[in-house]
Parts: sequence; C-alpha cells; structure tokens
Amino acid sequence: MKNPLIRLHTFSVMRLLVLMLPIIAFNPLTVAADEIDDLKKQIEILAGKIAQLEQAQQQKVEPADVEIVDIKNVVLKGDRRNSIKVPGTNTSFSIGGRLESSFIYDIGPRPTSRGGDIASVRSAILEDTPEFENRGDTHLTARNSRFNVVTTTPTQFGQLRTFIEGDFNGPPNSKSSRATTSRTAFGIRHAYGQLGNVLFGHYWSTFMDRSVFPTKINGSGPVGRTFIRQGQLRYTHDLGNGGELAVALENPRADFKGADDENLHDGYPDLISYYRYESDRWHMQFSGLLRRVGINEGIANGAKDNTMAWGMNHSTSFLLPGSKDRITWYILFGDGIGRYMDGGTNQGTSVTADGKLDKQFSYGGFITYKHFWTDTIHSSIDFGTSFFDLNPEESDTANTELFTSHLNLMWTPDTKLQFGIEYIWGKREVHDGRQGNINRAQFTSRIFF
Amino acid sequence: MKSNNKLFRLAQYGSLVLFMITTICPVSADEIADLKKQLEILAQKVEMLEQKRNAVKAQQVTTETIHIKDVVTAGAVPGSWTIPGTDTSMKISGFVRAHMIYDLSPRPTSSGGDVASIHRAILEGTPEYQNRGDTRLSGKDARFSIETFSPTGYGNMRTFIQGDFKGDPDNKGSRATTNRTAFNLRHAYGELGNFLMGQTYSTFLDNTVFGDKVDPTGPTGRTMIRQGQIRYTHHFDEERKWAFAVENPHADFVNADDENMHDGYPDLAMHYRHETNDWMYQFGAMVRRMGINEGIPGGAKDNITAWGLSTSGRYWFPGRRDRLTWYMNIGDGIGRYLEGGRDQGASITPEGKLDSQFGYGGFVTYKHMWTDTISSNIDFGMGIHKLNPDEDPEANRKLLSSHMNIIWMPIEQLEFGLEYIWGYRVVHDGRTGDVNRLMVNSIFNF
Repeated sequence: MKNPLIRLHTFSVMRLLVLMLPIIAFNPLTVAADEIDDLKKQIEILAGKIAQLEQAQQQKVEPADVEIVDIKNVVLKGDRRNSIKVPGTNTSFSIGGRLESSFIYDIGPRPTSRGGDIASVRSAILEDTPEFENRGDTHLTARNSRFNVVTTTPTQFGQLRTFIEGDFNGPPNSKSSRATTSRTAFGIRHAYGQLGNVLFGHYWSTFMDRSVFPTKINGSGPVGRTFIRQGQLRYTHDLGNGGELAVALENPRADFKGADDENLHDGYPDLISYYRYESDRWHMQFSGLLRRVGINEGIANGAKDNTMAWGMNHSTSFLLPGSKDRITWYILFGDGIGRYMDGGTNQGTSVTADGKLDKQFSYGGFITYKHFWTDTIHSSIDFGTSFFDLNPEESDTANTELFTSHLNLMWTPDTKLQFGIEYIWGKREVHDGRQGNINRAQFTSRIFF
Repeated sequence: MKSNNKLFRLAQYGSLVLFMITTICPVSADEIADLKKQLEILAQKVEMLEQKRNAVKAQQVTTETIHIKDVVTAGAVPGSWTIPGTDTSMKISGFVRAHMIYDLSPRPTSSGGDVASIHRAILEGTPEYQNRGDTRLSGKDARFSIETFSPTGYGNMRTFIQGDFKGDPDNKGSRATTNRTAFNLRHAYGELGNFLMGQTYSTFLDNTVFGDKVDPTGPTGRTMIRQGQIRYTHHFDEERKWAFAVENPHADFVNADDENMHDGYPDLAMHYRHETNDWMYQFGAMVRRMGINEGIPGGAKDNITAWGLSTSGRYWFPGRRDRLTWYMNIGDGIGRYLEGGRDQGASITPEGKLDSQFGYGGFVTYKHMWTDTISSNIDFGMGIHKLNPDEDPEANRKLLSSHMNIIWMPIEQLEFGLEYIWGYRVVHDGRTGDVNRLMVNSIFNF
C-alpha cells in the first residue's frame, strides 16, 4: 500500500511542477508571506483531520464491550436435527427420547407379562386358572419411557454413528416397590456402532421389517410378525434405483422347551439376508434366515443333536392413490422358525423321547390399514394371526394359534406430542386346547424430546 | 474505501503543500523548515493510520460470521441450554451421594442395608438380630435426570426423567466385587400446560416437608409413593393451587400379588396448597377401591373403599434461622399411603373378605441454622396401625423414628453430613425391632 502513495506523491509533484511554473517565475514576496500563512492554516486543518481519523480508528480497533471468542471454543449446532457439535471435534451429539404414559383398563384378564403393562397375547391368561376370573383391572404406568444418546462423525471410511437406547421396562425392583415407589430397572434396547455400510452391535434383527408395523399405542404388536433385537454384524449394500441388499450374522439362541445355558448349544451364528426395494409410495422386502439349533445332552436320556432351521418373510407397504392412507402386510413362515415368529419362543423344535430335536413348522402374518381423518388425526386397524404345527411331545402350554386385532384413534397435534386411544383384542390357543384372551382399552400420551 | 480515498487525498494535499513550500523557499527559510517538519509528522501519521487499517483488515479475514441460531446458548431455566435450531431447552442434573454407615443395632435388610427403613427393622428372635456393628460404604444413591422445556401451541411443555442406581444388585457375586446395581426409574413424566401425565410423587403427599436429612429415609408417619398418574393442577394465584389426579391403584393386603388382587378403579388423590416465602400448608385427600379375587382357597371376591387424609406445613421463624415442619396422615385402609403400611390396608377375614384397617401417623422436624452454611435438624415421627386380629403376625403395629444431624453446605454443589438415626418397631405379635445407626455422607450436586 506504500507504493500507490509514493506514486501519487510523485505524480502530484510532476503535475504541480507544471502548474506552478508561473509562480516560480514571478515570485512576489508579499504574496509569498500570505501564502505561507495560508499553508500553515492548511497544515493545521490536515493535522486536525488526521487526528480525527486516528481517533476513529482507535475506537474501531478496541470496541468497548465485545468479547472476541475463538470459534473453536463455541458449542455449535450439529449435523443432525437436535444435535450439537462437540467442541474441538467433528462429532455431532444428541440426547433424545420420549415420555410415554398409559392408562390401561383390562376388560378381560390382565396378561402377566411385564406386570400387565404389555398386552402380550402369547402369554394371555389361560382358562381354568384363578387369574382367568380376575377381570376389570386398571393400571397407570410410565415405564415405557426411554432415552438415547446418539453420535455421528464423518470419517475417511464413511460416516461413523453410535446409538445407545434404553427404557424402564426392566423388572420391578421388588414386590414392595410396586405398591410404593414403582421402581423398574433401566434395560438396554439398542447399542450399536455403524461405520459406512457396516453395523456391529445390538439392534433390530435384519430378518424383520419394522416399517410395516402399524402405528400403535400398546407395545404389543399384531402377531404374525418377527420381534427380535440382538447382537449382530451386518453389511448393507445399496444396489441403486431404490434396491438394497443386506447380509448379517446374528446372535444364535437355540429354542426348545426348557432351553437354557446348560442344555442349549449355539454352534454357529444365525445367517440372515434381505432384499428391499423402496420408492416414494411403496416398498417391498424379502428376507431369509438359516440357523442351526443345537441341544447338548440337556434332557434326560438326551443325546447331542443339531438341526438346521429356516424362515422366509415378505412384507409390503403402499400409500393409496392421492392420500396418505397406507396398507401394509407381512407374511412369515419357516420350519423351526421358532423365536423369529412372535409367540414362538422355545417352540422352534420339540425334544423327542430320545433327546433329539424335531423342527416345528409355523406360519403367520398380518395386515394393517391406516386412515387419516385430518392431517393430525388418524386411525389404524390391524389383524394378525399365526399357526404353529406342534409335534405331539411339545409342551401343553405351547401356543398353537394366535390372533390379534388393534383399533385406534391417534392425535398428533405437534411433532413433539401424541395422544391415542386403542382397543386391543387377542386370543390364543395352546397345545392342550385351552384358550386365553385379551380385551383391553388403553389411553396413552407420548411426548418426544 | 472511503477512508482510503481520504488518506490519498490527504497525502496529495500534503505533497502539494510541500511543493509550494519548496517553491516559495526564499521568503522565510525557518518557517519553511518548520512547515516541512510538520508535514513529515503528518505523513508519518498517515502511514501509521494506513498500517493500522491494514492490520484491521487482516483480522477481519479470520473472522467468521455464525448465525446465532447455530450457536448453543443459555436455555429457558438456569442450568439449561438450547438445542440449536429448536426452541427446546435441555438440562442434565443429578448428584453423587456417597455414604459410610455404622449400625449399632442389627442392619436393616432393605436396599442391601443402605436405607435405614424402620418398617423393615430386624425383629428380635431372628438369627440376624444378634448381628450388630456392621459397616458399609456405598455410592449407589447416585442419580441423574434429563429435563426438557419447550413452548407449544398448547402451553409450556416439560419432560422429566430421573433415575438412580438403587436397583437390585446385579447378582450376589457383584456385591463382593464390582457392586453393580441396576439403574432404576424414579420419575418419568410430561407436563403440558396444567396437565401432568406419567410417574412422579403421588398427588396425595407433600415431599417438601421431610426435613434435611442424611439418611434418605424420612421420619416415619409420612407418605412415600411414586406412581403413574394423570394430574390436573389449577392455580388460583401465585400462592394457592389445587391439584386433582387419578393414580395407579395397587390393592394392599398380606400376600397381595397379580393373581389375587383386583384393581378395578384408579385411586383418586387431591391436594390444596397455600405457600408463601415464610410458611406453607397443604391438605391432601385420597380415596381408593381395593379388591381381592378369591385370594385364599375357597375365598370370595370382595371390594372395599378406603380413604386417607393428610395435612402438612412449614414455618420459618422470623429471621429465617429456624424452621418447623409437620405432617399428619390418617385413614381407614390407608395402607401403602402411610409409610410402613404396605400390604396392611386391609386384612383378610376367614371367609376371604377384606376388612380395612385404620392407620394414623405424623412427624415434626425442626431445623436450626448455626451459620449460613451449617445447620442441624432433629425430627420425631410415629405411625400407628390398628390391626385386625386376623392380620399377619409380622405386620407393623407401631413405628417410631428420630434423626439428629449436623449438615455443612460450604457451597451450593457440596453437602457433608453426620447423622444419628434411631428407630423402633412393634409388630402384630408383640415382637420389636430397632435401628441404631451412625451415618456420614457427602453429596456432590451437578
């Protein structure tokens, strides 16, 4: 910046030299004295102006009440909704969850699972028990509230994501606590890490398709679905044009009556794969499962045995033309599918008299319809069923048939708020022919944070 | 750029003046030399100004502009922050409480002995009764909460989840090694405008008068219940409010469990509260229906209605150095709503019918502040249960308790306390049990 100043200076010298020539020629002294006074004045004016500028600049450089903060030390918005960036890193961090409060009224006998908070038809009270005559119970609970911690970080290997979530659906602290402080334990729902296309950790099984489950109030779903969260190593490949392929190794767990650590044998991980196609208004998914179920001399006279079991699943959802109304269905079947079918836990195989495993075939499915009355009010209705072909030696209380239906009305006035009322019906039949049922009305509010 | 031009113009003027001076030199050499000097000074100043401006420019290059919406700022309540891009404030708080216990009497069994529950004091004539002088150190009474606040079109919304680590030990082995205990639900509720839904303290009780204690159990004679509820609160003005709730029912008689109890209707609970800076009083009421479902072989179904009333208050003596609080509970079939009365709301008659049992109790606490940071508390509490002859022999008939302590709170985040706890229990068959405990604790709030 010095140069232009000098240039201008010399330029002025040249220009003024020419302009001043007549003055130099005449040089009248009287005029000169006046001019000197004049120049002095001008210098004074200039000095004044410079002083003003100096002052102005000083004010700018040192503003009175603004603190300068290094941007690295400021907590800023993260890359995802509701997240913040951990200062000094590239990691976005968020805490989220929901408060769920329910008011439950059982018209039929109250199911026993989780102290009656979940309307599990698979464990509905059976006729000819004392509890079967106990109807009309009321219950208020908030234990299905949950919270999670999520982080995402861009890395050279793709996005890194961690997710931990738990809820308070664990066992009650003690019998006394149920009558007083209603303590229930916090239990893990999800805990996984994802790097690019690879997921490793505890998450929904790759075999199931949660996106077709109906919007419900009670935590129990329609039967005829898969409902499993477990440890897994999953690879997902994007085929383009809406296609996606996933392959996973998941935690094995042999299932037969009385299966426990002493007698079950889990030699290999369960192998699962799905293909999914998704477009704006519809999607479909096919998945397959192969697993090895093993027994280890657990049962009297038993031998070691292993059997290969499999399962298949198809699901679809689509939006009706010109509306947000949605229809979904789910079809599921397999030989020895066991725990991968809701209500089929410990029914994958029966144990024969000589201690061998004998697979049991089962099939099921459900259909749901969701209708929007207005933008914020909708209803869902669903019907689900499943059938288990049991071997004669199977336990008396193993499920042979399950039916469920849910009908609800839900109001979502705000993205953070949801209220709903639901009627739940369920029926089960067990191996010895006895029946049990569920008849429940439930009001629930959810607040998301 | 404007100042830029000004500077150039100044420089130009300067050179013009200089030139003029040089051309007029014969007039007065001294004066001209003087003017030259002045001009030199002016030129230097111009240069300095330029340098400064350049420095400012260089600084501006490294300054980034951030939208205020992308910055995490302070939230709606103290200790909270905003979630960027939303109008929600979030707050995480809690404490770590570590304590050391020495039991002069038999160690009570509740919560692995961490809590001096008088209503479960060891009874004479049992093997544990001769086991005295146990020591325990624990940090499992640590808790944390997540809280959010957001304005909505339906009023202010608040969510609150709080848990502690006083759950069941992981297993017996863990108690001897890593002391794992489950994280447990204490509170989980949402508030929208005047409505509250979820789990928190029962609307029947007043948890603000228990006194400042070292042991987490309070004086007996109180109510200690947290449960699912839907509550509506009406504020008459800043000081007075009225709350009404439907709450989770839980029938209580000996051996009540899922098979034999019947909870047909929610419990109804309410309170009226008037609170000022210096004093407060509250009235509570509760009515509930308890049911039994063929509880004993050959028994019948039966349902009874039970009720409870309570009043509590607080008074700060002038000068705010001394504080008195009190609590009174009374009711027929009050059962679990009176501490130590769980499963004692009703007895079961030989025909399998329910017969409600009357209970009453209360306590007083007195606090004296020796200095601004050191205080002492003393309390005395009592609970009396009128038991029917057919009640369980180990049901509580009389409970007495007293706490005496000195607490030092040097700063808001820290609290240290030393307490002596005494408790006495008489059960239905006449046996007694007692608690005699010394306890030191420290609380680190965050």
